[in-house]
Amino acid sequence: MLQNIVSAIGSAASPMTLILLIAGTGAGILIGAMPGLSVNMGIALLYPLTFAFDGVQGIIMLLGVYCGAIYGGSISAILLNTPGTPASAATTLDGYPMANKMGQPGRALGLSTTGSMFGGVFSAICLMVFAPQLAKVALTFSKAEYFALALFGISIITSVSSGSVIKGLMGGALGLFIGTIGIDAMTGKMRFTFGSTYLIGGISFIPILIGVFAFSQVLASIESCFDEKYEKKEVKISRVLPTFSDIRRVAVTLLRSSVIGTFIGCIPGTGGDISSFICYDQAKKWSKYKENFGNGEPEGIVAPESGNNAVSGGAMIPMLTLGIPGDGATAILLGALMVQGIAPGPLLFTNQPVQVYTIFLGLLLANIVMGCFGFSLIRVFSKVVNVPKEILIPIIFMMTFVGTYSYNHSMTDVYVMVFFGFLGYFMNKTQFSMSAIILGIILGGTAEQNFSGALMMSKGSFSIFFTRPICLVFLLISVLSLMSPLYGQAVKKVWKNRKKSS
Amino acid sequence: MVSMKKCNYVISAVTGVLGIVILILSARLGTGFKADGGISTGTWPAIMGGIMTVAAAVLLIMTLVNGKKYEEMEVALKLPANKRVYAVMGIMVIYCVLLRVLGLYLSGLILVPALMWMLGERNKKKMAIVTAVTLAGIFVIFQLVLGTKLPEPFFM
Amino acid sequence: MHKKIMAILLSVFMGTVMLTGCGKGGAYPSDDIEVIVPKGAGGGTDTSTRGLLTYMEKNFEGAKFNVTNNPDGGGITGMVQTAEADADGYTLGAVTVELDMFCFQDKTDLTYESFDAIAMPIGAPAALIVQADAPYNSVDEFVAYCQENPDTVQVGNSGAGAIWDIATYLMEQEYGIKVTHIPYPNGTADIAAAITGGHIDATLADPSSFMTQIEAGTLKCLGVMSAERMTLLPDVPTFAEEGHDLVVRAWAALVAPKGLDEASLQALRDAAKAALDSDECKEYFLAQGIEPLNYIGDDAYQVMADDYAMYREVFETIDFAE
Repeated sequence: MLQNIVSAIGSAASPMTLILLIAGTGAGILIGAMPGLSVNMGIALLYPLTFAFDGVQGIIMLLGVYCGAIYGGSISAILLNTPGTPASAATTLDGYPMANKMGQPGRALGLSTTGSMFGGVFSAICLMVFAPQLAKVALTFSKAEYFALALFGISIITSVSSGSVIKGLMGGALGLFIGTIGIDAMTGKMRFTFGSTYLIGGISFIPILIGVFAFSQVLASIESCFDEKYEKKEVKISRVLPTFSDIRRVAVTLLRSSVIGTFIGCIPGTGGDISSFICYDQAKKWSKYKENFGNGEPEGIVAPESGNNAVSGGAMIPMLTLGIPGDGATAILLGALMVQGIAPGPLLFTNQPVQVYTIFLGLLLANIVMGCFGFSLIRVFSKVVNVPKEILIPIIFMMTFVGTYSYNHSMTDVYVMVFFGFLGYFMNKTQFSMSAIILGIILGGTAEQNFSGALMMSKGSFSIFFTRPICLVFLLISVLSLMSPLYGQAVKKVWKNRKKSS
Repeated sequence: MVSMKKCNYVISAVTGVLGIVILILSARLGTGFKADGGISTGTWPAIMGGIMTVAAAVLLIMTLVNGKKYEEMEVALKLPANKRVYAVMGIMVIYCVLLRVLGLYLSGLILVPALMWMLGERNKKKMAIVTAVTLAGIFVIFQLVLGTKLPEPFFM
Repeated sequence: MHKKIMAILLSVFMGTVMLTGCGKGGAYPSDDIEVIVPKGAGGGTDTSTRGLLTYMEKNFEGAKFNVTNNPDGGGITGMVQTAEADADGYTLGAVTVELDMFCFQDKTDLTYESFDAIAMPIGAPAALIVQADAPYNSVDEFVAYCQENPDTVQVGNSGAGAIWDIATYLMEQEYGIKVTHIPYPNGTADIAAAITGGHIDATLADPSSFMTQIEAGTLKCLGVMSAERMTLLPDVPTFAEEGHDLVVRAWAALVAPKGLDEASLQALRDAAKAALDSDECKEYFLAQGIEPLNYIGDDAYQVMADDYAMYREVFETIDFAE
């Protein structure tokens, strides 16, 4: 086995591979940072290049793109309140306040890079050590468990609605409803399509994301900079790496989020978007600084970022051990591997151990390279904050239009984006939470389809939800999570009274 | 400044109506459970419509009960700053039409300087440079490197 | 001075715009060709289309294909986009077997007649796949089990009303059995996970997503609904061999909107033929678990027409549960 590892290191650390990796990661970060360009698009774009290289080298480049793109989304999330990828939507909650209100973009970017790198490396190590065991866990997930997980994700709406919980629920319900427009995949019927071909496909998610975050954010900036005289913000970036006190504060969150992310990643069909919100929610629940969330709390940045990058290693687990891709990106990776003669599946570890170890090392290196890229570019990225609003705002507007159009080449998508941008502007003013809507759209389909599917499997009996242990656990957590605003206040009072009396 | 109380009334009304409309449309699709397990097409949207209607009602009640608290909260909707945002919104709508007719580059040529003007920039040289750099950047990244198509004028 | 600068910049831009737009002047193809794939990235349709295009580029001077994925609505929006595009040869698309089904499901008026066929690289048959330790080893044994246990066998498919669901209905009708249909709308990878994990009993689907498990011995394939045995599964009998003539295949074809001029269409077809006939291309497909086909032009069109007729009959005779 040692010999295999040595030859793996040899091929993974070869100069050509490293050059490809650096190029891929760089491209990935750029693609991730642009709203409208997605992880899958980046991998699909660079995939043909892998034909020119033998063996695992091209694959390692794609791994770089994969990790880089997930990380890149946080850059625009923190600096512009615009998630570059759906997985970074949760990073805007604390990343943007820290960059903007507190004037510490460098610290926010540093924390995000640390989180991403730690999450990625952690999941890569889990992949190496626990792949077969985690794969077994992944296989136990059937429709009931998926429903419970989706319900848990939806229950986070109450936690993420920093403004008004009622309005958060409204937003969530709206998002869930939007997810139902189109063809109901479980019955084959069309819903709410009113004869429009566009609506048969459902309202696309990315235009709504860009509209509700980016577009409305720019409109808000126009309002806030109305009377501002241009003052160059003295953004002092003394250090790029997080301070020791920061690290101590977020250490537990880092670990917790990475575990959650890896676990969610290894379940086929779930991705960084769900993981980042769940990690954010859990960090908030267990943190000593709950009230600070939403105002630039370091834990609030580290949690979603490590959560979404930990998905990368997790998603590779079912792909490599079972040949079952967890999402579009791993599906392309699977194809790329098969073309190179590497056959993922139960026989992979016994038949082609060297290639497997090379892939493991490749993923590890990809995350480290991504971290290095991130840290070295923080100073450059932070300068964005200093660009005068008259220049920045028109550029961002153009980017939203181009990004939305390049997603599906549909003008209707652009109209959708603008509409939701206007809507988002007013909703932000009246204490609605954009994240609640996004969560609803992301999870609505999964929740309904698996609820219906589970009932189909049990022939209409609800007991299926209560007799399966994993499902039951998630359902209980969801209920507790939904009720948290109610008993949160009660618990605080009890705590205060105890302190007073003692 | 408009008070949050008024806003809440509007929100309640809109959401309530939306919720009821969804309930009606879902009922037409068929709600309830199917014989062999599984739910009918309209069940899930009906639940959503229901939640929205209930939430609208709760918001209404909360606003009535806590009237004073909401009256004190102010929502900036009629300030001069807002007027500027509404003007930009108008420009955006026009831009959507222009985008279809003139294609990306030509309409961008109009949009970027117009926005900069609205934001108070008067230096023509600056506007020209920013427009040029932005459109060039878009050209390089999206058309050369990524090869994606961008809206083109209808006379091309 | 300002006016001069503005004038220069403006003319530079007009120039660039003109150049980009007028790139379509010269010999075909003088500009990038966009190809709309109506399915998600990484799936069978996407992989085979991209593979075909990659090898076509090698056989077609100056052609560069840019693929976009538009999987919304099971593929309807993507296919409609292709049909409505200008027939100038710069927008092509892929269509799948669902095109022949949507028109009977009241989802669209679009039919295969809105397209000119270029090539059909893939036509995956429905394969009956079950767990390796299941008590049945052939289609007939499976059918017998279903007859003894009506409505209990759970068969996964890729969505209600989608091709594998229809294949299941056809099998039920042919053999007189009743099974429970469990839809997995997010694709065959989910079905593979479910069947490997033991949550469902069987599936009728494209075998490429299950090849790794079949080769490893955790799943087994009992029969394929195709005209001939597959090269990838030479030991698996076809349904026809066993006496039931069921042919259900999920094909994907590269097409152009109807009205493309003969010369360009023929150039594309020639490039496709050269691509699909090459050994490299065939190996590429086999490596991914995809059985390569090479229907070109009219042959491809004929498959689309045949399936259209078959599904018209299917939808008129079978009453899908409400």
